[in-house]
Amino acid sequence: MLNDITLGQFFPGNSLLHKLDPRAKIIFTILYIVIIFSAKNPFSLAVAAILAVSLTALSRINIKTILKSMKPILFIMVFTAVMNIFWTPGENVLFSFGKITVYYEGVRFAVMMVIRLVLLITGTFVILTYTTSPVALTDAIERLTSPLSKIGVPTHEFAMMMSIALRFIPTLIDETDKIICAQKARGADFETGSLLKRAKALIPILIPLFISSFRRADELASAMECRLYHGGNGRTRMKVLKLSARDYMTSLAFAATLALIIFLNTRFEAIL
Amino acid sequence: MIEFSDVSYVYGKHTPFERVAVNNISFKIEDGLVTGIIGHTGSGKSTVAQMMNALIAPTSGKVLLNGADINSSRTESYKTRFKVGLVFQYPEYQLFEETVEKDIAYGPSNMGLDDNGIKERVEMAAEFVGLSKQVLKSSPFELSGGQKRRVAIAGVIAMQPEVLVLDEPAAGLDPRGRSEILGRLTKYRKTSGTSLVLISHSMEDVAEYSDRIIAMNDGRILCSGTPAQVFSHHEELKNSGLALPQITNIMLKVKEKCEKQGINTDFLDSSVFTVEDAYNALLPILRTSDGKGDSYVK
Repeated sequence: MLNDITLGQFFPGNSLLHKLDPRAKIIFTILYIVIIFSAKNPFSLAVAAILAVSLTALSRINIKTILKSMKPILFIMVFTAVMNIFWTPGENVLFSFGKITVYYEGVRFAVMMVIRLVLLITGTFVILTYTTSPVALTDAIERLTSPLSKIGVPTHEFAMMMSIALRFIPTLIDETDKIICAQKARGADFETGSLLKRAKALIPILIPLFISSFRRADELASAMECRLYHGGNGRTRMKVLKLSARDYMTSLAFAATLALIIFLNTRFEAIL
Repeated sequence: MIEFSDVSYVYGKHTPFERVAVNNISFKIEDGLVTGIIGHTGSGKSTVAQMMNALIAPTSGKVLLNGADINSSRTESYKTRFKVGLVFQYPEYQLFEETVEKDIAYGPSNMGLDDNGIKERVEMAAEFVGLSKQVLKSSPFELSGGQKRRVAIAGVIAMQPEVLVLDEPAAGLDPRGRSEILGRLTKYRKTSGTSLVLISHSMEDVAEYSDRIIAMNDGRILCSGTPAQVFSHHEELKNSGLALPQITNIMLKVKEKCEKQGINTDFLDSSVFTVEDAYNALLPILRTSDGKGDSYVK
């Protein structure tokens, strides 16, 4: 019932992207977003597309999986495209239909906008969510934000909370599924009736879910204390993150792409 | 009567996580009997339970209740939930109301009964599982684990289903809680005439309370029939990772020892699965070894 969630799922693997340092990957993701948004004409966008395609190839993630993750944002893409096609003023009329006039510029703009969105999703997913385990990700966030702990921001605690939250998402989905089934077996009906009736039907699911979450949190806290967990101070790591040659090489590739795009932007007229 | 005909169920079809949970099985749950379904973890028994009241529809094959396909329409599936009551594993986690009474009333009120009808059923169900009037007024979250379990079971009994399916009703309870719950359930079955389906991995429980047994392994039926018939397949059961009842094991060991000593063991039936049976099987040998056999066994 709730097992169709692919958005933000980690696929274990052994590719180059899987092996990159997670801290570097966060920075690459930011860099990638900068690249996508600085590509302002078809040529620089093509360069960005080449980067996205090579990253996807390197990650060895099934193309079907990537297409499937586009589904939730399909509506946004169609909406942006339609808005841009009909509301972009221009000079070259493509066709007009009553009051509505569609310009060549509008269509061009919409196409590029959609490509940009697709690249944005594919790239960030391939670099970060699909190839980075949640544990590595929170670890990286903790390390990247650690300078903030000097001014009193509890970065370790935030990271710990985040990894615990991530760890419990599948558990909670399972649990919700079970409770839904159990209440359905007692004749609960979530599919018919007015909005108010349907909202009320959720109470028998939410209350047991909250109660078991609190119970779980309590048990987890005790279990952590039993193992002498006392916060981040003086805590050492089993896996120490270390930048390697492949991280430096990848950053070089990203920097080169960004430079090329900036160069192309100066040569051609900006469209986006 | 519930009938499964060529039923299969596949989890996550067309994904990399595809897994066949139930593989082309057919069986019947006869009226008025206690049917035990045994199998170790992952044998597909819980999936079978959820197909019995149309919570999940089989990937292929049909589930029939009194001859009608329960998955033919949404309303048919919905109606089936009241005819086939399903108590999940660890059902105490489904409790949500302020009082025990209201929680038990949840099922009957979904059936659209009037207040009097609901009250009557709540009281009836509470009595069957042994909950006092005082407990009915308290919050379900204040109760002990065993009491919560009984409240949850009462919640399903209150719907007065034709067939009551229980998935591991005694899991996680202490021995006294186990025998109390199972004892009350069989008593309920006798008074109400409801058919009972007990799903468990514990041979002891199933052996003691069931009239019919279906043993499952890897989504298939390993063997089925009366307890005596099923436990006579002890080699297959052991190979599929199911422990035999302890008393059966003892009798098999005794038989083995006797054979080594060259003693005739024809009188020992290897499909002994309750203490009562063991007593009857051993009685003659005690009598023959000593003229006054009766003094050994009372």
